Amino acid sequence: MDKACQSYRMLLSAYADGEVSAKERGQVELHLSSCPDCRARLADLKALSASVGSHLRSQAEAADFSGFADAVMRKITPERPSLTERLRIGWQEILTYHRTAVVSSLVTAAVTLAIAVPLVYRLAESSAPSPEMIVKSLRLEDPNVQPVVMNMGDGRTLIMLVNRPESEGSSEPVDLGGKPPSGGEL
Amino acid sequence: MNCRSLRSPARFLALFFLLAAPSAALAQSVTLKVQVASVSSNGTEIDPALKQMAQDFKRNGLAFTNFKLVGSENLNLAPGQSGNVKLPNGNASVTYVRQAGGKLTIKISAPAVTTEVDLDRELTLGVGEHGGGKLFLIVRK
Repeated sequence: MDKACQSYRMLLSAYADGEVSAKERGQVELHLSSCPDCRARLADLKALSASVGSHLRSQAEAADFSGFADAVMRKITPERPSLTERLRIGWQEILTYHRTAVVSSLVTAAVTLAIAVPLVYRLAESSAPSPEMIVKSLRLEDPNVQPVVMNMGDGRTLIMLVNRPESEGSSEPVDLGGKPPSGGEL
Repeated sequence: MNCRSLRSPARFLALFFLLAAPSAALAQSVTLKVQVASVSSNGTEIDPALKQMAQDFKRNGLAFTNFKLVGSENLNLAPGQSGNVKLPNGNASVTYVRQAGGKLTIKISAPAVTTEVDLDRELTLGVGEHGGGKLFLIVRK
């Protein structure tokens, strides 16, 4: 091996890996074109490199990476705090960075409740049916009159005595319209 | 009163009934407002106290135009107690029978009619005739 080959063989490995400058690559290729030993050496280096690369790829493909991501995440994720702790931290962050929004929301909710609750209560109260008057018993002294029961509305009831028509012998009360009181037993 | 003295159950119960009894008696008595009205078709006078009655009658198709207040009084009654009301044609008695489940049961005895009702808010009861018109007893809670 002459001196020139020695200096180029130092570069052959880098050349095989494409890690030489353009000037060095030109010089190496010029030498290779004239030196069968160095070409053979270069061929050996490329074969070795390809063999090592193939071996590493096959090893990498055979490796099991299924739990790799979880293992990495377990190492980089800190311990999960308790629910109360997370709520406390979250609430502190909200109060720190969104204080105005929180206060205005609470005020709005309070005002809404203050208006809505009495309104709903009043509506429920007004829609509740009022207990109607129940006539439990009724006795008339004069057989020629009969009772007429009339619901006047708003919890007011009228029991009026009217003369019985001569042709009528029944003692049933006369309903003059309106809503009769419930459960009346006359 | 020392709190220690209330530790005895008997003393506590005695104090409870001492405080509760008068309030329970007050809660049981009721005050009924009673009016006597003479209603006819002769005239067009409406006593201010009977304005609501006149409106109710008109709204329900009754043709009376004259509403005269004959008498008015408040009856404060305990359960079982009766109050008398003077009518132009005699007397009427109103008896507070009982109160249960928010219903007030009263009994009215008048010359022409005797009735017992669970009163809602107001009862207008015909109790006979007087002066060419009709007499009504109005009982209101």
